[in-house]
Amino acid sequence: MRRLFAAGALTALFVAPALVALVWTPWDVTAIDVAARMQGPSAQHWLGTDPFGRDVLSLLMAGASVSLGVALAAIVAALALGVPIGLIASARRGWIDDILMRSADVLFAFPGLLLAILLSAAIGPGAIDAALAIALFNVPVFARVARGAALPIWSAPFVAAARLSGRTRIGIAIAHVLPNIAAPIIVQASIQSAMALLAEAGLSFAGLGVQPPAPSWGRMLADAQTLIASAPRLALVPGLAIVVAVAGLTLLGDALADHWRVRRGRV
Amino acid sequence: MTVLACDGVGVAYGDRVALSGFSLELVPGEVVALIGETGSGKSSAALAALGLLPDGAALTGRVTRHGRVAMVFQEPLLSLNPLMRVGAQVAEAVRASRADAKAQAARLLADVGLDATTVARRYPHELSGGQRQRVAIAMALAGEPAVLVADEPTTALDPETTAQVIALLVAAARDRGMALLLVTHDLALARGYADRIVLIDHGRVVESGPLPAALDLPRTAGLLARLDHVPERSGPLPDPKPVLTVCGLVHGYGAAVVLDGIDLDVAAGEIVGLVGPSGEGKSTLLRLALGLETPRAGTVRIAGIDIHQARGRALRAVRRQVQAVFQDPGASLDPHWPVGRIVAEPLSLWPEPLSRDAARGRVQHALARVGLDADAAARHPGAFSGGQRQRIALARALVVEPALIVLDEATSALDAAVRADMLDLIAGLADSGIAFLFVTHDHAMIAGLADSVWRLSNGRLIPTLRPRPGQ
Repeated sequence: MRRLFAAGALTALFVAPALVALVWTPWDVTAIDVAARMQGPSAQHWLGTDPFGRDVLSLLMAGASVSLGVALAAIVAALALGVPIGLIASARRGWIDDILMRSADVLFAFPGLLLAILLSAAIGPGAIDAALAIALFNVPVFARVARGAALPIWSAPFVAAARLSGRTRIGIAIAHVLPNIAAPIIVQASIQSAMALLAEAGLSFAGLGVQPPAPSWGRMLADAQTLIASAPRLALVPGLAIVVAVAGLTLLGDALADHWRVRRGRV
Repeated sequence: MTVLACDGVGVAYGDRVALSGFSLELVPGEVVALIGETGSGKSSAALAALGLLPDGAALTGRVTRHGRVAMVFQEPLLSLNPLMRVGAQVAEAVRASRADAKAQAARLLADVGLDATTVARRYPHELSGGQRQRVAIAMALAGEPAVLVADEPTTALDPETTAQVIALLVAAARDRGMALLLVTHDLALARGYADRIVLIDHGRVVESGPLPAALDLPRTAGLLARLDHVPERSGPLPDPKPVLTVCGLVHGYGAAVVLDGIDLDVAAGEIVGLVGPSGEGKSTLLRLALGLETPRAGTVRIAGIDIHQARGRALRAVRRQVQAVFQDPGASLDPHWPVGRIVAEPLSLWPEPLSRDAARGRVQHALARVGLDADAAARHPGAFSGGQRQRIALARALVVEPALIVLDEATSALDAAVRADMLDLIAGLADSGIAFLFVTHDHAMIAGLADSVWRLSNGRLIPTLRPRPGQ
């Protein structure tokens, strides 16, 4: 329970500023102020300014909401597609199972970065392209977790009792199987969110994700790359933010898994 | 001379005390039965006596052993190495040179009633459950132990094999002057073989003494009465209507034929028992009777409707007539649902739509019929004991007023007292006109309860008890 609280606090550390940044940042992140460029930390600019005179703290906050938004949208989309695929595969078995899971394998074998480049070529680079690429990459992950967790549930006697009650397979999948596989899926979603955040930073760094002037942690890193010798803090700040966010989400998934394992052990 | 002495032994797992003040002395050649129900602390006592307690268990008191000890476990498949021929496994347990070990292993296998020339070259999966347990006993005897502890050695075996294996263990103890501690929940089993019994409950020894005198001690006598309990049945219903009619049923998986022409009738108010060794297709027959699987040939009619041909409205009508209670009380109920919703689930089969209040009333009525309080409906399965969960499962079956309830080993996971109550409940429901098809391993119980008993063997039904005329 204490670990769950600690992981939750670490996650809140970047989720809260990201939410605040949706309505307010200390400075306007698009306003360029050449007079104030490359300043160190001060009372006005707590984390200093970048080469365009933008406030680094404001960029960090706004970047958090963009990066987190892309990552979460991707994971929600992947859940919405992957979990039903896994459920259907576990419910029908046979050739439907084979087709669904082998397609997932093909998707899984396809390099994520290549997928992102393909997509950005097709629809142009941007936040949507990044979210789509990350979502597609995560669909087989959730399909596999859902199918694997659901298989033993389908042979449980309470599912047989539900069939005797006249429930259809779809009805059983929604009423009985889904609640019983929620725990591992939520844990996986938490860990994949961390991966998605990292992927978003990577894509934006490579110029395939969020485009300027919209801020993102990956873009901040890319902008700081050439100045790493003169102003290391510009790279350090978004780098640390990524580390904290990824560690927070991963620990949250880990703590949730332990929490549920312990609770199940007591029942 | 004592070979094993436990003096005021206590075992605790963290805060939970599993055993306290346990004292026991064993002398050579004596057979002592340690009897207790699930969770009574009898296995903790056995492990403490052997010095095999798991990490995290705290031992108090003193255990003295003179000579070697050996153990036979519940599930022989888990205590044998699947990748080693059984002869080699027994030889490994023999403390001797290689050539001597092989000869001695052959002798041990012969001692436990196995043909050493053929069995020694087999792998564990090629043997039956009884043969595997004999191999495990041969391995235990290989070390020439002064004390042999057998923890529920026959739970995985059918009744005939159980009797043979226990007789073998007792004979080995007598012949070799070895003390045998038989750990079991089954007083009926111990009654026939042990010199002494020790009855354990909630981690304490409640009664002990030599047989047969100990059978008159109050707790032991009470346990015996519940074990031998046969529910009262009123006479057969006048002119009972057939509820389940199975005709020429054939089924199999791949090339294996599991059921080869099954005919079976169950009438209203009748309890029909179905026995037979594991893997003979009893569960398959039940799944076919419930309409969960489609047979290769033959028909299953419930209240006159073919359950495998019915579709739509007719299927819903036939489904309402047949419900089931399964073996494992831990997995029969969805842990995420409150009991009220679990019991109400089959009500979707009710012919006319039910109002919320009417549905709730039916759920309360079903819970009352199985002896549960109305406030059970708001709680989750985790809050109930195994026996109560089986009652909830029975309430779920009863809620649609079915003509037939199929019981798949529905009482085998329950302790004696709880099982006696459950059997009374089933007998009462049968007398009210519900038909039961009861699959079980417990021959003595079903012989007392059922109107007729059938054995499933090689895909066919053989009458074993009081078949009605014409069958």
